[in-house]
This record gives sequence, structure tokens and C-alpha cells, in this order.
Amino acid sequence: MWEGLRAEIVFQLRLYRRNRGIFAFLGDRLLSERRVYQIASFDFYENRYEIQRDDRVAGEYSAEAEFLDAFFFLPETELGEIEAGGGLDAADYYLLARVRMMPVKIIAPLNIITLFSTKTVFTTPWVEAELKP
Amino acid sequence: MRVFHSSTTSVGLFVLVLIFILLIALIVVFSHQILINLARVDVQANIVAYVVAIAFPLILLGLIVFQIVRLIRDRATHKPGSRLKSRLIMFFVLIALLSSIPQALLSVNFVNSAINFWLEARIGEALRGGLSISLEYYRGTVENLRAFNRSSLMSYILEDLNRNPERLWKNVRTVNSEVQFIQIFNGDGSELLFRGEPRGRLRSPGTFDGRTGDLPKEDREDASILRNAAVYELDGGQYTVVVGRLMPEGFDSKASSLTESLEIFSQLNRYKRLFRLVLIFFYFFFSFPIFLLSILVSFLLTEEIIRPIVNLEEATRRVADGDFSFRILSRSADELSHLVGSFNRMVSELSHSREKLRQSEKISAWQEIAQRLAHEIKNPLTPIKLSAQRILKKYSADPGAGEFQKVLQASISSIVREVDNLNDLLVEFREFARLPMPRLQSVHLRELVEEVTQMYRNLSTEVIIDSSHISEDSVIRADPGQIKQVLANLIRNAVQAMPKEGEVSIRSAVVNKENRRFCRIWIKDSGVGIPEEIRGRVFEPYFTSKTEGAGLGLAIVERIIFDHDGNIWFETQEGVGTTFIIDLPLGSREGAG
Repeated sequence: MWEGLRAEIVFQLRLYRRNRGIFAFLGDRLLSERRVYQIASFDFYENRYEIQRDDRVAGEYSAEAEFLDAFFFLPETELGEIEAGGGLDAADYYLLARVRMMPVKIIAPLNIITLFSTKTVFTTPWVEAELKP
Repeated sequence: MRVFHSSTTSVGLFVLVLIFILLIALIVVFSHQILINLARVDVQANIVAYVVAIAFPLILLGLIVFQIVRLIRDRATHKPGSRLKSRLIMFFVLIALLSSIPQALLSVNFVNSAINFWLEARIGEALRGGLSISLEYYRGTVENLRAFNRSSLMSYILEDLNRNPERLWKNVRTVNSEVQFIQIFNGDGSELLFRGEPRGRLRSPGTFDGRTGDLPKEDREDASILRNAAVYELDGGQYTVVVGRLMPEGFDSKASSLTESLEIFSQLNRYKRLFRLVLIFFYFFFSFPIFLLSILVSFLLTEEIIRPIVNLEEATRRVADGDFSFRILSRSADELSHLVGSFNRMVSELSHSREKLRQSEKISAWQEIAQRLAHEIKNPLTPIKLSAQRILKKYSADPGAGEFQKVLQASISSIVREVDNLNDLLVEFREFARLPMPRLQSVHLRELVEEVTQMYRNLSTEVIIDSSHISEDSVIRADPGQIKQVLANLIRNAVQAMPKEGEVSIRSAVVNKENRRFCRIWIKDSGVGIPEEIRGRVFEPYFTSKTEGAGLGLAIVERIIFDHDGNIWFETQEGVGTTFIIDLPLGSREGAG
């Protein structure tokens, strides 16, 4: 970041409803999906770290540790509403999440190199989380 | 039989060239977007990118393999033109390779040079130096405001706050000319004083939450403002003093550009080896389909070149085998098409000459027969006639014979009459056998037709002869005497084909045939028509459907027309009528008498 570079982290969230019974082979139904992009940069003039979310400044930090905590933290995000009733409960739903991190956010069209190098983008596997009632 | 030069190849070629142009347009217009979408692993890649990247080259490869297999099969079966085709394709592929290899080498070299040039250490140093200077200036300004607002001089200057505010502002400017505005709030946050640049004015100290020291830079559309706040106690009261200045116009945008440039430079520098490989990969990614397309185009182009040659070869073989009806049709207008046209003309002329030769041979044969016949018949005719006349004379001198004299007289008269008829026939034979070559000159057709039709108009009032549709300036190149004979023969036949009443119409027009201009004459009657069974023999010598004449009329007509380098044929329908059609070469109007 001291060279003017920026970093990007993308939180990818998917909400599924389980398909049970004879239609289970069709797979679970994707109800909603949300991606949260956070871009971190260093402001040389103000001597502080800056986090942008959805093209707006979401936070400014002078301390490095504080900045890192904020950068790797997924802020409260609305993923959609779950239908109540109909014989369905929280166990019928689950969440998949993964994180894609670019230590150096490469601008287009130079970002094409991400297709050819595994060191430019780090992606976690999908992690499943159950919903709590 | 006719060979049609198919346009399928041309359509294919056109479609390929269209795809070629489309692909280039696609690359030029959308390459940036394609590259961005390809790299966005978290979104569905653009379908266009998939088509360009995978499907299109695969389809092209498939088509090329198909064409190669077909060519190998053609060569194995010794298909005409396959050897030439393979040589031409090799040539085209070689040309494509020779042109694309240097281009590829140049492009790779250019990419390398460009990357090396942009990543030169001097550029990085310049960018960092620029950033350093701007930071120095910025921090210097901040430091200057901070130092001034904390200095003991400021306490002294503030003594004029209640006594002489104008002097206070003047003193501030005198001590520090970089301060462009001053704003003083009292303890409850209300503004006591503001002097200087109006854009620097804060509405209340609440704007900075009572903070002191360096205030956050305020970015406006028209300016960036730096401020410093400090708290002073004066005459028992507490005051917040804010001093500040506006950054020079364009400082912010220039600073942003500098930061962005440094970011790009740092990215390029960090991944320069990877960029180089990726750029070279993408050069081939976009140019490979174009290279494949050019090979495919060369296949179709070769087909386009080979086809007329193969057709010509086949046509030559067919003509050599005696099939003069073979023609090649070409829709293009290039030199090969001209060659095809010349070939067709040559075959047509060969066919015409052959027909003429056949006709001449036929006529010669008949001439020989006619001469021999005339000779054989003529020799005994004279003594027969003389003997008959002598017998008649002797018996007339001795009339005692009675009834016998009557019979003898009638019989000998009949012999003499029949010998005269035979003599007339022989004259006709001789005429046919000794038909002279035409003496060609430019003549007005209308005059000839009028001369002939006048005679028949006088002979028959029941048959109408209409020659009004012959243009006055129709000029033919012909022997007037022979053409009059032709017209007389045909008009007589037409009149005879109408036993009671009817109409004979004669008209003419100029037509183009095999790149030559002819005067076409139609002689149409409303007679009984020609029965189907004798249509094929109409022009044969000694063939007639009538009770009188030797059947040489139409044979003579046909021969005269052939001698004029023309053509004659007929169209007929029983009960409706017959039309004889004659094509004669056009003459020049200037030479027409």
C-alpha cells in the first residue's frame, strides 16, 4: 500500500433452501446472493488507511491493527427475507459463504493476469453455516 | 447439356469475409470489455468471450480439417483440379504464415519494448518524486498553519479581537501570508469573527466537534481547504481560533492522478513478467482465429479459382468427344469469366461450322445426284421427244388411219407434255445444283419484302399479306436476288397453306446472339400447320407434301440462308399456323442501296 497499491476483499454470500423428498435430486434452491466488496488504500496526505465499500468511504483508520480488523470484517449485510410458515423452519435454510481476496487490486484490463496466476487472487472454499431460529 | 457455375462458393466466401470483418470489429470494439469480464471470476463470463475464445477457433479448425480431408480424398481419386488446388492452398497458407510470423515477432517485440519502456526506473522515480514533492508541500502547509496557530504571536494578535478586528486580520496576514482566512468562535460556539477567503468559513465549531489541532481536509468541488484549530483564553473568556488556507486549484486532481499513476506503475512493475506473457498470449488469442479464418478463406478462394478451370477442362473433353451442346455459365465478370465466354463462343462457332459442313456435304451429295439424274434423264428425253414429234408428223401427213390417228395424236401430245414437265424439273435440279455463291451487299429488307409481297398481293385477294412491321431502316447483308427467292418461296408456301382465306404477316427485329447482331425475320401464316411426322424432313431436298413441284424449294431456302451465314427454323402448330424464322447478319446503313 505504500506504493499506492490497493487491496480488495469480496465476501460472497448465498442463501439456499433445502430441497427435500423426491425432488432432492434437483438440488437446493438459491434464494438470494450478495457480494460485498471492500477496497483498502492508504491516504498519503492524511497518513491513514481508508476502506471503501460500494464506492463510498466506509472508514478511515490511523492504526494498522484497527484497519486490518475492519478490512477483514464483514459488516452487517441484509441477504433477504425468509418466508415464515408453510411447514418450513430455520433448518430448511442454510448459508454458503466464501471470501476472495486480492492483496493487490489490479485494474482492468491488467486484471486479466488473475486468470494465469494463483498468487494474485486467494479464494477460500465455500463454508456452510446453518441458520439459527 | 449445360454446366452451371455454382455460386455456393461465392456465397461461402462472402459469409467468411463477413465473419472475418465482424470478428475484427468485435475485437476492436469489445476487447477491453472481454478482457475485463474474463478476469472477473466472481461473475458469469460474457458469452461473447466464450465464443471468441473457444467455440469459434474450434469450429474453424473443424472446417479446415474437413477441407483437408476432402482435398486428400480428391487427390486420391485423381479428381480434376485437385493437384492444382492443393498447390494453391499451400501457396496461400505459406503467404499467410510469411505475413503473420513477422507480424507476431514484431508485436511480441513491441510488447516487450513497451513494457520495458514504461517500467523504466526513471519513470518510477519520477512518479515517487512527484508524490514526495506534493506530500512535502501539503505537509509543509499543514505544519505552517499548525505552527502559526500555536505561536505566542497569535496570543498577541488576538488582543485586537474586541478592540480592532480589522487590525487583527491585517496583523495575521503580515505575520503569515499563507493564512487565507481566520475564524474565531467563543465558548458557546457562536462566531465572533471571520475575515479572509469566504469559502473557508465554517458554519459552527460543531462542524469539527470542538477538536483542535489539524482539522480533516475538506474536499469541495471547487477547492480543498486545510484548517487548524486552537483554543485561547483571553480576558477571562475562551475562544476557538481557526486559521486555514485553500490548496491551489487542481492540486487535488493532480495528486489523485499521481497516486493512480503510481498505482498502475507499481502493479505493472510487480507483475511485469506475468503481464508480458499474458499480453503475448492474448495477441495469439485474438490473432489465431484470424489466421485460421484466412486459411479457410484460402480454401474457398482456391475453389473459386479452380472451378472455372475444371469446368473448362471438362467442357473441352466433352467437346472433343463431339458434344457441341456443352456450355459453361459463369456469373462473375473477371478474366476467367471472359475465358469461359471465349470458350463458349468457340464451341458455338465450331458447332455452327460443323453444321454448315454437314449441310454442305448433304447439299454436295444431292447436287451430285441431281446432276447425274439430270444427265441420265436429259439424254434420253431429247430423242424421245424428237421421235414422238416425227411419228406425229408422219401420221398427220397420212390421215387415213382414222381412229388410230386420234389415239396416236393424243398419246404423243401427252408424251411431249410430260417430257416438257420433265424438262422443267431438270431445270430446277440444275438450279439447285448450280446455286451460285451469294454476292453480299447491304440492302434494305423492307424493299425486298415489298417487292416480293406485291406480286402475291396481286395474285390473291383472299389472303392478306401484312409487312407493315418491318422497320424501314432494317438493313441486312445479303444477295438481294437470293433473299428475294427465299422470301418468295416462303410466302408462296404460306399462301398455299391457307386454302381459302387467311393472313401472312412478316415482321423483323434486331437480336443479339452469341455476341453478334442479327436481323430476325418472322413469316407467319394462319394456315393448317405442318404435321408432326414430317417436321423433321421439311428442309430435305425432294421432300414435299404437295402434289406439284420437286420438293426443292425449302432445301434451296435453307442453303441460301446458310450461304449467308444465317439460320432458319420454324415453329408450327397444326390448325393454327406456321412461322418461319430467319436470322441474317446485319448490314451497314451507309452501304445500303
